Amino acid sequence: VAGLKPIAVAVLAAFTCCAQAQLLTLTETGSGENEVPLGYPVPQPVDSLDAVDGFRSYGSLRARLAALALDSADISERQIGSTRENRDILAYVLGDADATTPEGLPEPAALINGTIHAREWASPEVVAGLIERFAERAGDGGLYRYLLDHLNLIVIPVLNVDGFLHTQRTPALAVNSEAGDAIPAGVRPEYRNYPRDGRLRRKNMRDVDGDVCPAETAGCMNGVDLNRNSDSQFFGSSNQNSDNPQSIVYRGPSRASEPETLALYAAADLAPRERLRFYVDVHSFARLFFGVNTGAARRDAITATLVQRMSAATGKGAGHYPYDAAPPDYGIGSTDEYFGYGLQIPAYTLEIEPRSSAAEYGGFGYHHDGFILPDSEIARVRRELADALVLGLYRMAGPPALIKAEIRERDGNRVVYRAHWQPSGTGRTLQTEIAEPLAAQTGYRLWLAFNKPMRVRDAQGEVVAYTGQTAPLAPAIAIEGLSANGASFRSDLATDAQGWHAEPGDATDAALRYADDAYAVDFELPANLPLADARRLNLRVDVQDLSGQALDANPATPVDWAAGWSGYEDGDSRDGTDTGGPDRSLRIVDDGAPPAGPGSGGGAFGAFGLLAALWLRRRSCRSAS
Amino acid sequence: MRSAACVLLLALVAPAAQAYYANRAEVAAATEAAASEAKAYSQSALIVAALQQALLQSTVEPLHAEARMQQLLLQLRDAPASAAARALVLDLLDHSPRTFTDAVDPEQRRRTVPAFEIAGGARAVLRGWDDRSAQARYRDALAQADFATLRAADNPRVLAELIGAADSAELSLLQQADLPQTAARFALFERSADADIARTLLRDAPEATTQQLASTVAQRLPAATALALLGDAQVHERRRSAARLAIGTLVADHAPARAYLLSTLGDAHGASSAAALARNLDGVTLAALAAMLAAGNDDAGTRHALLALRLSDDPRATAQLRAYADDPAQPAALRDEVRAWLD
Repeated sequence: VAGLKPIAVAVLAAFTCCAQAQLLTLTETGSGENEVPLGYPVPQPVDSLDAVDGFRSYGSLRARLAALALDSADISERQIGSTRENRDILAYVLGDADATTPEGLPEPAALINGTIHAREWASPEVVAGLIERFAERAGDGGLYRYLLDHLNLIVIPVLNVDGFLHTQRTPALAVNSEAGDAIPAGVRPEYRNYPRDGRLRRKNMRDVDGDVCPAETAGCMNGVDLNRNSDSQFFGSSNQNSDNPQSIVYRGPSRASEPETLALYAAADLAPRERLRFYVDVHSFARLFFGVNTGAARRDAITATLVQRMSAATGKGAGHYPYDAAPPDYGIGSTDEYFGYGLQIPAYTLEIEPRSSAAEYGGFGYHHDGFILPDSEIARVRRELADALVLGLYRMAGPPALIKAEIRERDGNRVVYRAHWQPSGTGRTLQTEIAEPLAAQTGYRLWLAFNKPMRVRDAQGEVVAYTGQTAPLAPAIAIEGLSANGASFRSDLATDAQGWHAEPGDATDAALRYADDAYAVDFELPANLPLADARRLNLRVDVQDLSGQALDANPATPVDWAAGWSGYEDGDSRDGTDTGGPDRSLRIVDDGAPPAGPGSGGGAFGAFGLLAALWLRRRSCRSAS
Repeated sequence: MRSAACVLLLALVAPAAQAYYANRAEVAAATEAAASEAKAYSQSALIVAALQQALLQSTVEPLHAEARMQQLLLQLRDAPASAAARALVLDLLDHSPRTFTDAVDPEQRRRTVPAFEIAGGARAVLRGWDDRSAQARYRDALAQADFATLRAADNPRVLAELIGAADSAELSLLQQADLPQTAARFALFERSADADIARTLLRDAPEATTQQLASTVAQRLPAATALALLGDAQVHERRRSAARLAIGTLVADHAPARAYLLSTLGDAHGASSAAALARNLDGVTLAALAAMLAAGNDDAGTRHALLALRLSDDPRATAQLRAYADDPAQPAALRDEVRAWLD
C-alpha cells in the first residue's frame, strides 16, 4: 500500500496538475502570446572563469573556484556530499591550515551558503565573488590576511547543483502552473499560478526528469524546497511549507531527507560546528536580511545590530538592507532557523536586491523578474555584498583587544614602559617588562598594538573608514592616575589618524602583525600633573575597530561566543553587556588596587573592587566609632 | 493639457493617499475584470481617456483603478503614439504604487510589494513606441542607403534586429555602412561571419553587449580562423577566459586547438585552458597531460594540467589523478592536494 501511494499521487497529479500549465518565454521586449517582456536582455549563462558583467555558467564557476583553490594556500576544496543526480556538492574552506589564531587561541568559524534555490542566480555570483575577493587580497597584510589567520570560513557557492544546472539549461523558459498546490482552507493562495520550472525552478530535482522538463507535465513541479527541509523543530510546522510534493514549498518526506541538506550539515562540521558563530544563507530577492529571534536576548540584539553594520558596508546606508526577524518559536523549516536556534549565533537568510522587482533597474515589472537580476547589475552587487559580508566576518571574528604597549623617551629612545598580554591556557596574563614613572614636560612616544587590523586604507594609502562605517579614525588615549592623596587626574593625548602603521616590522614604529593593527603617538605631560608621587598611573585607551566595535576592556579573559560575547568586558569590567569599553589595564605605576567595578565612576574592575570598597568603608566606620 | 491637470490634481491629493493592501486572489480578480474591460477600448483616444479616469480614481479606489491602468497600458502599447498618449505615459513613469500585495517569494513572509508596476508598464509602452519609430526610420534610411542616419542610430538593439532580418541586398548595404554600434557589429558578424568584424569586437567591444561573442566566433568561423582570432594576444583581457573556453569547442575537429590549450596551461589564463580541455577530454589530450605530469614539476602548467583532470568527469582522468597521487616521484604538496580531491 505504501508503495502504491506515490503512484496514486503521481496519477492524480497528472490529471489535476497541469491543466493550466503554460510554457513562458522570457524576452527583452517581445509581447507575443506566452512571451514575458522583462525590459532588459534576458541573462544567459556566460562561459568565462573570470567574473564578467553577467552570470557565469555552473561549469565556469566550478572551474574558477577549483583553480583558486589549487593556486592558493588559503583555499581548499572539499566535497561535502553528492546530489540526487550524483553530482559533487563542493565547499571551499578559507583560512590558514591550523585551528588557532596567531595568539594561540581557538579560531572561530563562519559558514556562508549559496544557491539553495535554483533560480536565484545572483546567489552563486555573490558567494563565489566573496571567495574571489579573499583570493585576490590574501596577501594584503591587513584585513584579509587577518581574517584568513583568525577565522575558519566555509563557503558553499552552489548547494542545489542539480536545480541550478536545470535553470541554466533553459535560461529563457519558464513553466507557469497552478500545479497541484492543494491550498488548505484558510491559507493564502499566493503560491498558485506561479512560474515553477525552467529558469524559475526553486526546488531540487527530486522526482523530476531533467530530460523532459521544463514542460507542461506534472512531474516538472516535483522537488523539495531545500529551505524547508531542515532537521529542526519547525520541520512540518505548516508555516509556509507543505507536504504536497508539487508545492513550491514542499518540505520533503522527512527532516533532512535531501542529500543537499546533509551536505550543508557536513559543511558545518568542517567548521567545526561548535566553533561557528556566523551563518548566512544567500538568496534573492527582497534586499534584506531575514533572521530569527530565538529569545536569547543578547544573541538577538547582536544579530540585529550586525545587519545595520553590514548594510552600511554596502555603501548605501544602514537601512539599505533592513532586518526582518521572525518572532521566537515561529519557524518554517529554513536553514537560518536551524543554525540560529541550534547554535544561538547570528544566522541570516540574506535576500539580495532588488527590493520589489527589476522595475528598480528600468525593467517592465514582471512579477517574478526580481529573480532575474539584469546582467548590468551583478558586478556592482558582487562588490557591495563582498564588502558587507567581509565586514560581518570581521566583526564576528571578535572584538578588538589592546595586547601590547610601549613608551619610549623621544630623546635617546630609552624604553620606560613595556608590557604585553601573554596567552596562557584559555586566558592571557599581563607581562610588564619595564615600568618607570613618567616625568612631566618630557617627550615620549607611545606605541599600542591591537589583536586585529583596526583601520583600512584607500588606494592612495590614506587611513579611511571602511565603507559605510563611522568609527572615529583616531583613538582616544589618556594618561590617568591617582595622586598620593587619592585625587584622580587625567591628561588626554592629542591623536590623529596618521598614527596608524601600515607595515609590520620589529620596531615600535611599525605595525605588529597586520597593517594598521598598531598606533603610535608622541606626547608630553603637563607640569601640573602630580606625576612624581602618583600612586597609580595607567593608560586609558578608547578605540573602536573598523566596524565600530569597542575594545575588550579586560584582555585577561579572551572573548569567545556563548549566545552573546563572553569575556568581553565593558569599561566597568562587566561581562555580558556586549559593548566593550576603554582599556585601563596597563599600569605604569601600579598601586596594586584591584580594578574598580560597576558604579565606581572612573574606575573599572568589577564586583571585587566594589566588595573591597565596602570592606574598607566598614573598617573606617568601625574606627570612627 | 488634461494630463497635466491630472498630475496637478494627483500631486495635491497624493500626500493623503494611503497604501492599500489586497491579497493575491483579489489582485487576480481585479486584473481579470480589468482585462475584460480594457478589450472594449481600441482607439488611442478612448484608451487615454479611460487611463486618465483610472489615474484619478487610483487615490480612492486603488485596487481596481491600478488594475485598469495596467490593462489599459497593455492596450496602448499597440496603439499609435499620439501626443496626448505620450504625455500621459510619460507622466506615469513617476507613478507611485498604491496597491500592495504579498511578495511572490515564499521566503518573504510578511513583506508586501506593489501589486501593479504601473511605471514599468509605462516604460514598456514608451519602449514599444520608440522601437517602432526607430524601426521605421532605420528602414527608410536603409532603403535610401542613408548611411549617416544608420551610423548615428541611437537604438542599437533595433538596428541589430534590422540587420538580423535583412535580405542579402540589404545586408550588403549594411556592411558598407561602417556601423560603429557594438550590437550592430555583432549582428553583422552573426549574419556575415566576417572575421575582421570579429577581430575588432574581440579586442575592443565592451563585454556586456557581446557576452556570447567568443562562442559565436567558434561556431561561425572555420576552425583555423576561429583559433587565430580567439588565441590572438590582443583579445581584450576580460574576454580571454571566454576565448579559451570557446577554443575548447574546436578541439575535437582541429588538433591545433588542443595544442594551443596545452601550450597555454602555464600562463595567466591557464586555468581557463584547463577547463576548456576538461570539457573536451579525449585520449589524445589525456596522453598529452600525462606527458606533462611525468616531468615531476610543481609549476603553473603542471597544476593546471592536474586541474584539467580534476574538472573532467571521465573515469580515465580520475585514474590518472590516482596514479599521480601514488607516484613518489611527484612533488609532495601536489600529491597531497590531489589525494584530498580523491578522498
